[in-house]
Amino acid sequence: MKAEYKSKVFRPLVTLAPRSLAAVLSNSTPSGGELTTWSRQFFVDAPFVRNFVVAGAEVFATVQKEYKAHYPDPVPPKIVTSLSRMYRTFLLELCQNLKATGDLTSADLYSNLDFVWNFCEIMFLSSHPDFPVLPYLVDWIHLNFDLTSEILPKVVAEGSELEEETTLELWNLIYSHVFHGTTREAARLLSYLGGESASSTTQRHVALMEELLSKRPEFRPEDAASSLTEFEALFTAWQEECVNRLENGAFSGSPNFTLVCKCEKLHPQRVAYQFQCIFDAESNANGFDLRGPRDLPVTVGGKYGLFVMSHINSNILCGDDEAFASAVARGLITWYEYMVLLLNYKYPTIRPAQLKAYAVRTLQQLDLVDKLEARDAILLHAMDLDVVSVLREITAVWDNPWVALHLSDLIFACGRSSISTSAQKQRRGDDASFDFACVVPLRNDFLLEYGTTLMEHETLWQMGLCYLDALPDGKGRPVIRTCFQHRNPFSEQEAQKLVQIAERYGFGDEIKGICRQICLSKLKRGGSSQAQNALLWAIKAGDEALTTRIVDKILFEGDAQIDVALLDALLANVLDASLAFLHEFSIFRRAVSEGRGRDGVVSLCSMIKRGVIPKRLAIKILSKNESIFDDGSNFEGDDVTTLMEYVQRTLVTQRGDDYNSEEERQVTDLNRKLIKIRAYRIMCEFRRKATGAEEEEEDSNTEFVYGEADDY
Amino acid sequence: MFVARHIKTEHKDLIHDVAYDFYGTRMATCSSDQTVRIWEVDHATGNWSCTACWKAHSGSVWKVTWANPEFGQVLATCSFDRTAAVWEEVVGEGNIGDKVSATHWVKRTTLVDSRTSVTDVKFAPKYLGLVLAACSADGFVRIYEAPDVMNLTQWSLQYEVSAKFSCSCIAWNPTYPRHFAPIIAVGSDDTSPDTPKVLVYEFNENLRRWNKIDSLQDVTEPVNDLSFAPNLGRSYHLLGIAGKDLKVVSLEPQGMEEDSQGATRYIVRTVAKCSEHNSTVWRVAWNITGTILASSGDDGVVRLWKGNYIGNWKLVSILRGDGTQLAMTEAGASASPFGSSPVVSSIATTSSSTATTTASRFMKFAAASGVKQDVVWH
Repeated sequence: MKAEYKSKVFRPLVTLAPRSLAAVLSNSTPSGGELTTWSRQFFVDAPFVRNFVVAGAEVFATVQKEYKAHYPDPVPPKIVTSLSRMYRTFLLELCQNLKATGDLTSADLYSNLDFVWNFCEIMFLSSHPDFPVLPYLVDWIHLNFDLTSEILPKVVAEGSELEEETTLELWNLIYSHVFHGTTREAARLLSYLGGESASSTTQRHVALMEELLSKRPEFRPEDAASSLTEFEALFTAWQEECVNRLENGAFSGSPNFTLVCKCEKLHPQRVAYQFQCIFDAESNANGFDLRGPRDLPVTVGGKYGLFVMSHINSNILCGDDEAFASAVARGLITWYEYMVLLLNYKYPTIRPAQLKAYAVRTLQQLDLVDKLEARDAILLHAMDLDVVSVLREITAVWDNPWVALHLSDLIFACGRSSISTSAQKQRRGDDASFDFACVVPLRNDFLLEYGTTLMEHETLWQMGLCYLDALPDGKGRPVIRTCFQHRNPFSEQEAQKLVQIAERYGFGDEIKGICRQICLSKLKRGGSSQAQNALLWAIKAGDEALTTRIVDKILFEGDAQIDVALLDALLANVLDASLAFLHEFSIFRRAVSEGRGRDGVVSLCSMIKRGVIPKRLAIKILSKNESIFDDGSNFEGDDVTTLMEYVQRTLVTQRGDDYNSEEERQVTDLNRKLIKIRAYRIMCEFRRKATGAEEEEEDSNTEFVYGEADDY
Repeated sequence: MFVARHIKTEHKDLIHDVAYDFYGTRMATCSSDQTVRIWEVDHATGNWSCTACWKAHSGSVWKVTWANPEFGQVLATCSFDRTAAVWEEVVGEGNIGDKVSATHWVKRTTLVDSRTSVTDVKFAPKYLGLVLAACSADGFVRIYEAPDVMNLTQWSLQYEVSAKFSCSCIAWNPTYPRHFAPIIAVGSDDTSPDTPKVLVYEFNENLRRWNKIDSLQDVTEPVNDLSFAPNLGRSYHLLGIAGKDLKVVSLEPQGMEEDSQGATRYIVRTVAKCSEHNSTVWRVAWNITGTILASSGDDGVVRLWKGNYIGNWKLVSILRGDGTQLAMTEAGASASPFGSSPVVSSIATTSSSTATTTASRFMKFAAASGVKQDVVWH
């Protein structure tokens, strides 16, 4: 038969579940085949990463608040930048923790991410398209390449008598600060060379140099009063002063320079000439006209660069072209630093969108175009303002959902699409292309992926809500609902937590599902001992059929002693007419449990008169709450008659002989008690009539002892 | 990062189905050896162990499926012996199952309406109650319901739909019914060219009947498996179809338009046709958010597919039986929301390759290389 044949054909199988996948891919009869499972390990479970993820979520929540507060306007770049820095703080903290524990591979990963994030922050968040990007790049380079903390302590320790090696290190540090554009820091360091022990010439040179370095104008984008035109004028003037001093030989013949430059191979002027050639060559090769008045600062800046370079003595920069290239290749100076050096002293006013051209020329000059690392490629994409490629590459290279998500979210919050008008594009040039239309779907995709990943985590799942909530147009709601459904309420505590959150989202069906699941599990696995607990969950589920069923089970199969608090809960939730009995019963039970016998009797009689007591429960209700029959004074009027008739009609006549011996005894006891009460009531009535109205007042304080009724 | 584990199933014959429970903490397998096995994961070690095994049918057991946990620990199986059965795990009751376990699996009912092999069983989404659909080689789809979840011995046959072809597989649309009526898709492995291979039915609440809404003309080859993607806010449904190749079909309801039978009109479109298995595809399965589709084929691997952020379906990963995973950067695709447009893949490949061959020039950092590209499925 066909089906029989099919049963002999192996078919590869696959099934998916949250966090895992299972497949049977090989037929190895007779053992039936091997099942392979792949389970996903959360990156958040790595050491230190958990705190990092939690901290990131807190910043993320702040970003969302800011977004909502400013909507429909974008969040101002200043705020977004400060939030971005908070993210980076956590990245750096994580790096330090990982380094401290010796996990250098992970530390490197996060160092790279921080480096790239910082640059993306400049390009996409903090810098203004119409203002120079250099101040941000100076910070970026300084943050990542500053060696002051390593060298300065040694210098300070040696005091005014610096050793030769320390002096060289100090000079290198000064030069690096000059390269990086942190000239005030360089000036401060120069003071260590111009102490009292230094010659007067050196002191003079140091003082002159300090003055020059300290005077270097800086453009402060955050300063509203700072004018770009003014900055350009100041910078030009400063460079002219530098050139004048150089040409006047202000620093010639300095013994300290001679000392420091003892390994100098080339005359400073020759070095200057070489750098002049380098700069001019690359400028001309790239079509920059240095002769125009607009480029005057550029030319002068280049000369100042030469001035600084001429005093650099090490093999790194004083050597010939080969030594220079060799230094770069050995990693002693990076292309990032070199690019910023160029900008610092030749092109200080370029805009973010122009940066790519200078970066490419730097790479060409250093012969690195074909040796780009993934990190470099990302930076170049960022210079292109190509946010999609940046995010794609970060995801592809480092596979770190945290960075791609939070970075895209910041870019989204910053709403840089609003500045991407065609006029501005035109002003920047054709190379500036913002593709922010893609940021929204990308951010959504990252949110969905990261949020659902977190929602699957055993302990951090609630953080996923924050991310999925951030999806626009309520798109996160069905995802949260689905993830919610797949949360296992493995304990009552967990179920409570789930219900609480489901209530927040108004997930009525899910609340019902969770409560039903716990309820059924208690009923099916816990037996009758768990019935009251199950009832509680059934009430929470709002499942009236199930509630009725459990109440029935408790009342009929159990001892009819429902907890008063549970009954209150029932009272608050009973909506269905079929549960009217429970409503009445809860009042009755409460009165009995609180010792209010009279109220109990009234309630019981009310239930009897309304005919709401299920017949099969009647005997249990009466016998299990018989304390109300112990005091005849609880009964008034026709209460006893009502009860006796009910017992006779329901428990004796209608059920006939359908009793076990225990129930028979209960009915007999009940009848006996009711007769006793009746007798007591008759006695009371008789005495009242016998004593007359006047004595009645006196006798009102006379207490009849209920036990006396036994005498009748 | 993924951890692969291998489990010797100890089934004495071919395994025909493997199914995770709702939370992914238990698995059920069934086999031609007529048994069903239950597997449970140890959360501390991640290892799976068999907690129950019993003879479920008197013929090959084709499929096993879990009910929503809201109804308890309930399984349904179907078999060549012409029956489907419903099983429930109970505490200290009955004697079926592993003696070591504190629980036992008890047969609650046997559904005997089919005259031929019952080829598939699937529980309905929970909003419909405890409802089970079964399809059989005699061309019928039968829908049963247990009205009392506390008493699973009572099942009533609610609907019997004649598909008029030999049914091989069935799938419920799991979408929460805010805007949509319940939908079932039935597949056929009939090889005759004239018969439809997939029929899609929609339940009409007013008429209380299942209406055929489409027969997916694009699918002409025998169908081995079907699966609807969970719909988390899309305006259309996605149906994964395993046959000669893998197809993803979208069904987009056209508002309130109805035909003369009262069925909603749908625009049906094939959104992906993937032939990378180069052989018959046997199974399809979605992740819980409907963003990743897994397929297994005669090429002996599992392939994972993902729709990128602009809706293109791309192969993102291959899982082999030896537990290894091949991310698609090697194969020219990117395992990310970006999918693998040609431009993307070329750039990604370039950067990755250079990253591995170039020594770092960056003093502070190591080279940005050697990072795995795992695919996320949820």
